[in-house]
Amino acid sequence: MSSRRSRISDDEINDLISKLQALLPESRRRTTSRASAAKLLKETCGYIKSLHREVDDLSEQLGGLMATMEADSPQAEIIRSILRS
Amino acid sequence: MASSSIYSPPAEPKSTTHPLPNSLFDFLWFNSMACQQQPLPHGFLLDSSCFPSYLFSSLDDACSVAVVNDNSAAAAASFDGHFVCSVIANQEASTMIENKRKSRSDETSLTTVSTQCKNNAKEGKSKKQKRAAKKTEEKKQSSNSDVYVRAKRGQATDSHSLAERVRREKISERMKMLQGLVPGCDKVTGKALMLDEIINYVQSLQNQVEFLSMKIASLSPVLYDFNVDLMDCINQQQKLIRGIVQEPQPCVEQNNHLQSQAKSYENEAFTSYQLMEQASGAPSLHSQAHTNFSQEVTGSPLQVGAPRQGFQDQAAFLNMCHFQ
Repeated sequence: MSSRRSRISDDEINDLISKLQALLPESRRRTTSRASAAKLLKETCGYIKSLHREVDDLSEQLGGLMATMEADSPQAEIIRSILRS
Repeated sequence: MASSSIYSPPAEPKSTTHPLPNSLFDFLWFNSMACQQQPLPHGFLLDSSCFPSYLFSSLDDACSVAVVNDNSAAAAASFDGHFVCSVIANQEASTMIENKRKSRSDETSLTTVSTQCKNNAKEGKSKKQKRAAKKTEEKKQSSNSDVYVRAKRGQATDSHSLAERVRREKISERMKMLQGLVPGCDKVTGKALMLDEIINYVQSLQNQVEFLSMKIASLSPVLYDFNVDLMDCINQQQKLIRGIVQEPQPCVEQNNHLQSQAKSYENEAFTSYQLMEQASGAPSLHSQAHTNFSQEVTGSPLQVGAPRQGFQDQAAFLNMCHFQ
């Protein structure tokens, strides 16, 4: 009975954790050593922050690109639509 | 014995080594010490006269009378050699005494005091033990690791479960941090659902980064790393890159429309670049573009299976072409 435990089993959680590990850009992916969940979560935090920064940088780059083009060219329109989303 | 006089000290010799206590505290201390040292004859405690006058010299006569009047056996039981208990009993007794000034229900009150004291004694012992155990556990824990853990009431206190609890708390703390980072995660409760949400968010962020970098790469012609000398190489690369643009299929709907646009712009870019290279070699642009491009490639994590691998190979191919 204790194994049923609110429909979410430990295996599912382990599965999710390994999926998360697969997403993270770790250099030691070949060994696929199971790091502890706490470390994984911390890495995920840092990774999400770096992704945010990257998105911001790229958006800025796009914005810079747009400044070099004419304002009403179709490219500018596309970039504007991207930056709006 | 409803006497209102204060009994004189009993004729029985107490331990002569102990000085006569002249305060209640001293008496209690004396009592406990005496109890520890030797098994006191029952009579010593039983005798109501064991509440000597000097004991109650600081108290009101009425108070002392009240206590003295009561059942000494019960009192004796209460002072059965436990110092804490006796202090408690003293406090209880004093409160009781206060009450008794109004009502003179002698025996019952002191028996209640004594029973309370007995219970307190037992509780006190067990509480003390538990507290001691907890303290030792905490000390052990803090000496083993530098984590300060307090075992809360009603929780297991052995070192394994303490360590386990520390671990679980760390994990839940990190989960809360992630909850703050990932939008829309605060409505979800439970580890599995939150993890699911986090995974989806990370994937979507990665897609976004890929898409943006692709857009930038397609829109700015100088970022392409083309070999100046080999025109057919460039043509090949044109085909490859068109293939690259077609392959990534993120779930964003805008992309389809934009990809077709990107293709057309790439054609423009290629033609303009060919014009440029005919005009001048511009090797510096190459190196700059190369570094930019490689940054783009390594910046976005390439997760999608085979097409991504194709992309990487093509990037390597481009690099090789550059370096010949």
